[in-house]
Amino acid sequence: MRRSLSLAAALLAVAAGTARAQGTTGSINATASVVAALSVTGTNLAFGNIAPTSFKTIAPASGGTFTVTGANSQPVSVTFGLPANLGAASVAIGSWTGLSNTANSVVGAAALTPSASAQTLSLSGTGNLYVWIGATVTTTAAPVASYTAPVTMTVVYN
Amino acid sequence: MRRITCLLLVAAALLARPARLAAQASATTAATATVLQALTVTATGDLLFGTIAFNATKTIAPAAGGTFQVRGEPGMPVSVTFTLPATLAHPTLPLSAWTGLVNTTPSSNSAVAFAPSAVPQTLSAGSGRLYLWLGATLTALSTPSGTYTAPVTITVVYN
Repeated sequence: MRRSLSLAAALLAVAAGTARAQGTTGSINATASVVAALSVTGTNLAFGNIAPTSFKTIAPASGGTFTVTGANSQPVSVTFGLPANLGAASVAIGSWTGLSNTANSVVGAAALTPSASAQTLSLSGTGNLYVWIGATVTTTAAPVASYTAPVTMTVVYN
Repeated sequence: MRRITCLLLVAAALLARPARLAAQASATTAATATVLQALTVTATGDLLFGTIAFNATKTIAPAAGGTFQVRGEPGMPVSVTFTLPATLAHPTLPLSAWTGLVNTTPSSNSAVAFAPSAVPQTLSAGSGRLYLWLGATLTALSTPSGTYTAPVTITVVYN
């Protein structure tokens, strides 16, 4: 009997619940914008030959480059990983300079200071962004050799 | 029953979120440099105009003029610029028409002509040595008698 009463009570509860779900409803939209994936490619910042104690500056227009492709007209946040030297303390690098443009030309490009701090730039109407970087290498009694260090640019959608 | 079913459907939707496309990308390039043998520049001879009279002009050809010797990494091109005085330290002694010769041996014979300038010029020293000769034209206007001198500077950097 008790079991029958419990079952009856459960059925009544389900029935009552069913009666409440038949009331007024409302809905919202869950939305998302799917955009093209970002990609970045780069070319080297080459200082060429330098004397053991000297300095050499490469302007960004003649320097390394990064090319970004992604979604049309999307703003992006850009950061740089910049070395302090080219693999030896006697070959220091600094005074970073840069240019950015939505066209693949330094003409009309805007000045940019490469930094680990995020900067907001915008991709072009066709999803492109071009960046040029320069710097100054200072050698101090540097041994004769070839030196290199990585320079990284990271781009994220805002 | 319907209420429980709706809750289950919502829970299923929340769990089955679509995969997100890459919103971040990075690229690594390289900064490179090659350290070569130190460059040395030696001034081996002054540009001597000798004696010049008032209101006269005197030209010294480079083969008889001032000389520089450059030493550095064999086979590497260098960029050469000159700081040339406009006068011989007096406004009535203007210098002009600078001329030059360059060779990889210490002989002006078969040396190549070049125009000394503040504009960089690329020269190559196959043996790691460059020899340069400089000449110019001095014009003496109504210059007071005296001895006059002015520096001529060469700057050499690796390309």
